[in-house]
Amino acid sequence: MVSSSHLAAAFRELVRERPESPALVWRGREMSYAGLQALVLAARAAVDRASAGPLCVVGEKSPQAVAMILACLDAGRSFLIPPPSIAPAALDGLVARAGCVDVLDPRDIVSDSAAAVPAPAGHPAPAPYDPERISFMLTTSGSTGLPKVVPLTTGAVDRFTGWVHERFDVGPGRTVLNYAPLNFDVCLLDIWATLRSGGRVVLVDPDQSTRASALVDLIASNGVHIIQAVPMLYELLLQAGPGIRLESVEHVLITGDTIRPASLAQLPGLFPNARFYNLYGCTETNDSFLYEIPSPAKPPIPLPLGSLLPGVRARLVGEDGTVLTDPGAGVGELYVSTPFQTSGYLGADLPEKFVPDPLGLDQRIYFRSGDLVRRDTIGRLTLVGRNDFQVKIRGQRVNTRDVEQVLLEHEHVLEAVAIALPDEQTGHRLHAVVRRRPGSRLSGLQLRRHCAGQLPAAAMPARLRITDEPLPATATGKIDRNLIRNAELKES
Amino acid sequence: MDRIPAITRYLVDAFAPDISAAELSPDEDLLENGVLNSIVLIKTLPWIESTYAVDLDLIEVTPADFRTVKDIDALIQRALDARRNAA
Repeated sequence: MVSSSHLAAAFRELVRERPESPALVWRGREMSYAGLQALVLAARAAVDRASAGPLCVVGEKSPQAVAMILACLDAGRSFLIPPPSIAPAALDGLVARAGCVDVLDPRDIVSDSAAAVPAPAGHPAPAPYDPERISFMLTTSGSTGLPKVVPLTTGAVDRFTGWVHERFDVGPGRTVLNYAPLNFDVCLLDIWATLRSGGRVVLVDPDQSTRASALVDLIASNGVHIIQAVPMLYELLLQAGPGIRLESVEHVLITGDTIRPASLAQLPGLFPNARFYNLYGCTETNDSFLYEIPSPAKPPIPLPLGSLLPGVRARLVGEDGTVLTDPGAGVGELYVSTPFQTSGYLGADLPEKFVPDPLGLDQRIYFRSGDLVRRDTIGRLTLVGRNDFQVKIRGQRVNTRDVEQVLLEHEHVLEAVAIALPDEQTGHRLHAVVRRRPGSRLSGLQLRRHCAGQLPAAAMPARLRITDEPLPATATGKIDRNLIRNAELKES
Repeated sequence: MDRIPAITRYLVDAFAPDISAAELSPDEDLLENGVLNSIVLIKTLPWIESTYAVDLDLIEVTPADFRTVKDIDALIQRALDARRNAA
């Protein structure tokens, strides 16, 4: 039931027509659409008081934060959602990059107003609908220094959330788990598509997000129908113990990274009534491929990317620039164009990531994903890896070159290498090897403090080795990464 | 019993072998030195439960309880108190 064409209007309509329907579950309490609207109105007052221009919504996940974002949407404001644990200096940089004129803290919204449903006459008018206006401004995960700001138009958000509801039914009577923090693009599926369609979102409290037993209870006691999360959540739930059956779950969506086949095989035991999917996408384009895993106990390895979402186009471009169209054509970089994609980064000039159709068939903009993909002999696409120094750690993209750069910025560091090693739990883990300046007493702790101020948590090296010896070099004088990788593999 | 050395030793051995236990002060902010992350949390919870024979489900645990070695020590004390009260 989506009669309104966009998120803000659909939410208003739900508040009017189904005020008592449950919208959120937070810390054991349910909040109706009317209750959430009371928070939205309080937030709207703060939004309307703010200076004209893009806003920044800071802080951890909460009903107040959800309300603040709904208020921004209703008022037609662009808003940046930075990572909640971002360092103050990095936040300033992001705010500048996104051009934000004001920073709003949802904790300032009075929280006990949930019971009071204000008269409709008091509602400020919604902004006129403009599908080209920027609404959400998300950040790319992983990349160090300053993350890139990814603006999404209201049209892009509405096309995506519309697809989600058509495909999975997130309307009245349905319950969707939200595991990711609010700044992650995956929230467009679990929070924003659901609140647009009339369903109920169970928000995982960040404080509880690593507690297997609490997560199992949350899913079971709320009768969750749909879960979308990175493999780490499923690994955690499997840790809660054998014999646990989450019977209410109908759709299990795995996204952000590749799940271990051994874990995938155990999921039907945990979710006896569910269908399983692999969802491929990135912040810049949102989701582009969906693959329903026919038999999780014996899945094809590697998992195919699956079918294109409606309106999505993809090209595979070989190293020599040829477009690989035929079955068995081999490996190339995946280029995608989606109806949900960003118009480009804000405040960072990277035009080479957004390019015209390599086949020259259409006028659309394609995003170079950086993912290497194989077209096999029967035409299926499977993920091979990254074409650069990017790896996924706990579902977040990390560029090992950026990590090396930060290490090298320390005054006592002469050489530094960051190597990503495969890790069953986290996808990859980073090992860094650093040569310090002769006579310097640089310690691991000092170097960690230096890095922690500049790197997101996922990009922090799990192992840090400091030496006084020169790092091994290749014949051409470059640091021999393969030699170091093999040495680190042996030691771990 | 002073648990601080054991907690420090565990954190350093398991997650930051490049740091010496003597160097890591009980007041050092583990977020600011990058030792703390979600994986460390996931692994440290069962370590606390098995090492100190406590049930952390009995008390409220938040990431703030892991900011420093002293905070972790206080968390364990709360868990021990909860066990005593439950008994």
